[in-house]
Amino acid sequence: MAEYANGKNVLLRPERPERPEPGRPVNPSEPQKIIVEKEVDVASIADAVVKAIGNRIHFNQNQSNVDADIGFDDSKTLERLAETMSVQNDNNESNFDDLGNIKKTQKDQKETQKTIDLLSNLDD
Amino acid sequence: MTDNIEKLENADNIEVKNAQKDTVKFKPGAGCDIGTSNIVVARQTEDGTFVNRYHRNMLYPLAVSDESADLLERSSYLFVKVQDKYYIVGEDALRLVNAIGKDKDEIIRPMKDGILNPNLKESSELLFYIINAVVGEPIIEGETLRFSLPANPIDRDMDNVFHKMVLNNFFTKMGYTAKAVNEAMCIGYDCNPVMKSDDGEAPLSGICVSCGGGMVNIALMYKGLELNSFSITKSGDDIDEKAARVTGLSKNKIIKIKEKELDLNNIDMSDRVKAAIAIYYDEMIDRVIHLMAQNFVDKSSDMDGEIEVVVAGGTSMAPGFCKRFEDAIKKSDMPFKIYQVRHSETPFYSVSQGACIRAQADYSKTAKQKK
Repeated sequence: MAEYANGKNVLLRPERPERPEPGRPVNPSEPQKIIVEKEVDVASIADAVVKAIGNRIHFNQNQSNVDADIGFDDSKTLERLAETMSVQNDNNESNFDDLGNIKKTQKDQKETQKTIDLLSNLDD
Repeated sequence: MTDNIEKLENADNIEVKNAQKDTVKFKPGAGCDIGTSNIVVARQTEDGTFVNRYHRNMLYPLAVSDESADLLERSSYLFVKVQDKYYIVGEDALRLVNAIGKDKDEIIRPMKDGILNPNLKESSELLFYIINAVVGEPIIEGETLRFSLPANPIDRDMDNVFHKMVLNNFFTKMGYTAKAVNEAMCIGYDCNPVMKSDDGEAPLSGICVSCGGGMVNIALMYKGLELNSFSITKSGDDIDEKAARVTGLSKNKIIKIKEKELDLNNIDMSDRVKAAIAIYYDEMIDRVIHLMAQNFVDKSSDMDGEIEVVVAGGTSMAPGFCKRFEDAIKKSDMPFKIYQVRHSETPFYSVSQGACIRAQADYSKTAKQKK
């Protein structure tokens, strides 16, 4: 049954929502939720890094890490990525402390010492 | 490669024993050959003996399950558990594959073509674990260590910078003062090529060639300094693949024949398989020398006297390899006079021993500076 205001023949309309300003969305968005995962998936990061580097390998032949087009040096990025590769997951485990077999060889010790002396006077 | 190791193990005056805690006293300075197929670590004792610890750089993955846990509990296989898989390491991977009748192609490697394997998700974690166990802790605080690094190839786009950074981080975390060293230069430090000129003999001067499984690394050195270095792809593994394709045999069968029966000094050309392997060896040698000569000419590399070429690495271990290499060099357009091609006395250990010599020089230099 229709309702009238103050007994007058005026149909009560449901209250209209406030009109947004032109250019603003009709329904205001929910505040963004950021979910922080506590566990870092080292393997996934490593995977992504290796794949990214694998792709990079195909177009970067120079060793200077400088993008020839714009002269941008990405060596710091590479260093940071390399750092992530040596992060070990605490859940990893093994059943050995040391690995490998041993083989001994003999060389002329005087000759070896001469080489060491010569190299120790050189820059890297 | 296993058989090559066995051949060396049977050589006179070389003691071989299983892995054990070393009790001998070492000089500070460790050298590591971080290769696609093997990891070798060399240290030198006070009496001058080189002690090389070697490990096959291979893994066999098993999904974590009650069955696999039971298998590992009942056996003595060495393994690493990373994420949701067990990885059987080294020779045990090969033993397990044989025991359960699986294809050897299912064996995986943490490295590919001399650098971290981009197709293996856990390659860095696994490699770090293995390196830790093979290299061990530094014997003094901040001990100097050199690890081998392949040069960038001239016949393929590849960059070794990231691989170098990752390994440097590994060793630094372990407590070493680590630096990379060119793989071919290590051969030079170990074998000491000599240049002969009117002024006399110059040590550590010549061409150093490291023939690995995936690549051949080359360096031109003068009195210990690196003048030019590069690598060339298609080495031992490529010979296996091509010979397998043309003969219809499996790659593993080819490897077995190559390592156990092949003698490049004496090839029966009616034996289709051995003939194919020998032909692909010749192709590999010719290709390497062609590209090598071309690179030296392009870079205007020059030496004042007659030089020596020193050769090492697993692929150089087939009997007769060096003779073929020398014959091919004599016919080439190399811009230097070469008086001799010399094979390393310990071809499998030259890189690790050379890296160890370089690390000892680093230690000696630091000690001098401290005085």
